[in-house]
Amino acid sequence: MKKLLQHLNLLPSKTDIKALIISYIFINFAFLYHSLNFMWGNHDVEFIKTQTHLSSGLFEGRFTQFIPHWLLTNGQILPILNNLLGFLFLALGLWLLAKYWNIEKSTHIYALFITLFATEPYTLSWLYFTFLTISCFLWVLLAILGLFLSELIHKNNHKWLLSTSAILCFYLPLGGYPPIINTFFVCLSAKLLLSYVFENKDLKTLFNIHKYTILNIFIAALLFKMTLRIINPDNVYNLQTTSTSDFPYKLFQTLKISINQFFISLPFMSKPYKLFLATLTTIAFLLTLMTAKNIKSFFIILGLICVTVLSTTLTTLIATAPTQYVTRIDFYGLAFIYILVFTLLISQKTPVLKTVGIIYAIITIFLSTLNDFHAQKIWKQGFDAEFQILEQVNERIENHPQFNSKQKYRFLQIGDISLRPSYYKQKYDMEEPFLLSLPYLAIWQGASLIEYYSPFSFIKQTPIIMPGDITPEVSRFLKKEAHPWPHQNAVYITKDIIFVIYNQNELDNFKKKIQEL
Amino acid sequence: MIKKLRQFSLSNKETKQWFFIFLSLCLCFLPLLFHFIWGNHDWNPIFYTNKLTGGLVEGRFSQFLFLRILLEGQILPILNLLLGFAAYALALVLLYNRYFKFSYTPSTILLLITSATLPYIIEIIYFQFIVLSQLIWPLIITISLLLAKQATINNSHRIYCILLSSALLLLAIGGYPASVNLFVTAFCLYLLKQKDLSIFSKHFITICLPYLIALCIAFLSLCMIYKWLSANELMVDLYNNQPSSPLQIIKKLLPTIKISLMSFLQPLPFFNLHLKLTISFILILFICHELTLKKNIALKINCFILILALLLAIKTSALLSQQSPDNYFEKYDPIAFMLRTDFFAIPCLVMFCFSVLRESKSKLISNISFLLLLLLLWQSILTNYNFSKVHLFGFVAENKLQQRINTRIQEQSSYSPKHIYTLIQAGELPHRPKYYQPTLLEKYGYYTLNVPYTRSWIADEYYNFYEPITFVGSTSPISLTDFTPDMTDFFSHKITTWPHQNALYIGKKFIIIALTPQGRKMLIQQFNQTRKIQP
Repeated sequence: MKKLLQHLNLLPSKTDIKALIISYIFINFAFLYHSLNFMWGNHDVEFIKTQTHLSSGLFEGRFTQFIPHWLLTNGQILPILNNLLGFLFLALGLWLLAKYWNIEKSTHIYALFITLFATEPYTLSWLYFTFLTISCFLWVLLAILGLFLSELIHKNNHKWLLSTSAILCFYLPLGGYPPIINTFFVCLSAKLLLSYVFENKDLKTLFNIHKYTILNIFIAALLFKMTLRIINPDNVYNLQTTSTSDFPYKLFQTLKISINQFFISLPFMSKPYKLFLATLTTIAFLLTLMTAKNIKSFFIILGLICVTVLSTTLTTLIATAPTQYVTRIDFYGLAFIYILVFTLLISQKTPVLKTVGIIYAIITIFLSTLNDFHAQKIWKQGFDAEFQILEQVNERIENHPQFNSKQKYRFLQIGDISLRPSYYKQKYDMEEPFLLSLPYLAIWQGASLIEYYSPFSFIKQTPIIMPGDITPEVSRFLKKEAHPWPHQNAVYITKDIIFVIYNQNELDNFKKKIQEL
Repeated sequence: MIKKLRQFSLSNKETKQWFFIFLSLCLCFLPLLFHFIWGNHDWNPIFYTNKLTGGLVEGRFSQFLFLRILLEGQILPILNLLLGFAAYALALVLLYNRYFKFSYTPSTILLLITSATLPYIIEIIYFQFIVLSQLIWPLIITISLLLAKQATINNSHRIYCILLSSALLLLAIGGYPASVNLFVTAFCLYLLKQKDLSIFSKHFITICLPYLIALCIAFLSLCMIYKWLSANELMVDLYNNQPSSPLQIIKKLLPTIKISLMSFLQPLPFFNLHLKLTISFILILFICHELTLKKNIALKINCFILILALLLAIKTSALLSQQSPDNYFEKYDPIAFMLRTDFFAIPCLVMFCFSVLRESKSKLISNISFLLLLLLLWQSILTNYNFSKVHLFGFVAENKLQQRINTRIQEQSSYSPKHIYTLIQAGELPHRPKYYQPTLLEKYGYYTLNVPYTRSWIADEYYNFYEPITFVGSTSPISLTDFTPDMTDFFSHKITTWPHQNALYIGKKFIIIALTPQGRKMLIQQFNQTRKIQP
């Protein structure tokens, strides 16, 4: 095993281990409040109470999504350990990326590189859903391992073995979360840029080295598509791809998005924070362009920079669903640009620029950590506030004269309550569901949540309301008496249905539906 | 003097081992370190300071000694567990390096971490009021073992060593009698480690004598203390403080070996079949390895007898204590499957087995044992985290229910904050099983899973806990003279089960809650019986 790792240049040296430990401790510190306060997103309730199953992701084509959970924790979502494992995979993936990009090897540079990426608020987006944390961080490690192994193929005798391993490394993440394709191409094109500029390799040599990478990614993507055909998932939004006729328009749109993403502020990523990063990105790219020896190399460098930036929005180009400015997608794309900036700065020959790179990393880590802690505070406040409401609703249900704990009810939640935004007072350009706006008491998991802390099991998991359920009493209640929470009439219990109303708009919509019925 | 003292200080390697065991225990139970939650005996101990004499009622005269010395009798969040972990980690380091004298290899730390984090510890961690002392007893017993071992080597201080060893053993078993399991198990393992030792030799008797004397002194002293406490009405005769007579002990030898073997196979909540089988496999591998190493039949028989003794040693507490078959605990929490008593034997046994197997000349055995070590460690980590999660959810959910009941009580027009009530809670609603996915063939799990945090007979402790005023005075039953017409009406016509409005009755003196259908049935039965008796 040791020999194999040594042969593949994957055995960490003392410097690597030191850097990994330092960065791992810092990453865990940055998300400590989240790790210690077990919070879960609005898809997690049943998974936390019971466990995840291997087949849980099949309906949306994510056939490998639960393999890591199943192998590592028997499908259980465990407090703290979930984050500890996720961060471990992320740190290892980034360490491998540092090796892949061939950045200067020293404890502090490696530690800064890993910490810089991992503390960016984009990481937070994978903490919202606990059932995704381990796998979605592991995909980064696998994707970069795939790139790393692919690069070795040209000088290795075991081409088939390496190729197969690399294809597997690309295929597994694609089957778990397809937008990982952004990472493949961002990291690859960044590698080409760095090799061209700082390793003085010409395009032909680079093509000879990296042709295997492209081929492996292509084969993995093909296998992914074939698997989707076999498992035949539901027709869900996140599997639909852009049609050929829409492609030119989408390409133009994507170009715009790939530039705008540097300036659009999001929750916990304020305008000054984004502008600071955008400025440093511009400086780093300009400095890299200035290293060009002639016009030809200038355009090659410019081209490589453009391809790298464009790769960050590859999913937006391919998928029909709006994926622009979504942090969990940008985690696999834009977030890598900010460590590329660091790499470009520290790779410059001038010592001053190296220092600028280090200062940039320190400032960014500091700002990102502040944003992370701010977000964790808001999340916890929102989580507690929403669960307090849930507790009050539960109390109302228990005290309701119609309620019988031995009976099974269907549960109908009208609207939901999202309280995280109430605690966040800063302005932002774009709404971000996972970082801020999504509620914990979401409609689709109301039935599971309502009895989560109750000693009784009184919910039937069949929420469909049939015309026959709208009796004159129910109709009268909904039309005349129903009011959203915290009104007394926000909870209504019939013979076998519990209604909980959170939102006036949704109540109005529901009334319209009833009229149609 | 300084030289002599230096030999007691930890070497760098030992310090390193201690640090990693301590760190892994902290990491394994981080959710419980951060969230201050407690078991169903802890409500009052957390509220008040624990007196030195607090454990006398069940004969545990030294139970609160270390809590008094280290934390002034208070149960303090984080610190309570941290101190306990530190002591337990030290006990394992001393057992490994000083008592068994195993050599240091790169896998030593991993081996010690695996033994320390075995989920036998989870039942110990459930109760806050005893966790500190329970985790200190292994250290006290290890020192007692070291002194007994010293008595076999050092002729000049033999008597002092034996007396000190028995005093420490008495201190430990006086706090928790089942801790004797560690003393006897470690001693049996120590005998197994002696190469070519015949149980019929003089050397064998020389080795055994100090341990046996220490054990006898401690056990007889404990019996005498129990007698004195009982005579002075300081101790109540309970299931866990009745020693067996010598005849009973002889009768129980075979059944104890049987329960010892069964305990290696019976899955329990948070101790699934995989985990049990892994430990059993390690033990079988160890036994086979030991038997094959012995050169002749006589030594093989010797080894076999010692292994039988080891099986008895693991359950020493079961052998030495009296058990009645109709006992409530025999049904729900049988002594054969108590994780809290196994905690004092099995981690030490696992540590010993791994250490021996790892030192094996056969590379195959050494590699298999290393793989088993990794597997066991990971399974233990997952189990410990799962226990923390279920413990946490169960505690939160039961407290939420408690708050809802309190709110309902205070909202009633008949409730007066000026009164001190007698509260009768009929029935209990344990929440933890709701958050636990049982695995194949599991049984029992009394404290680890099934009992509620809010036991009906200590209702006054938790009903008052979060309230600004004390409104529950006691939980004593209703007597004949207490029945009022409205109470009679409640029992005869109204009484329903929680959460119905008529699950609650508030009179001038009594608050009655029918929490479960069984509780309601029990209340009605009691009421009817009382009416029959009433002239």
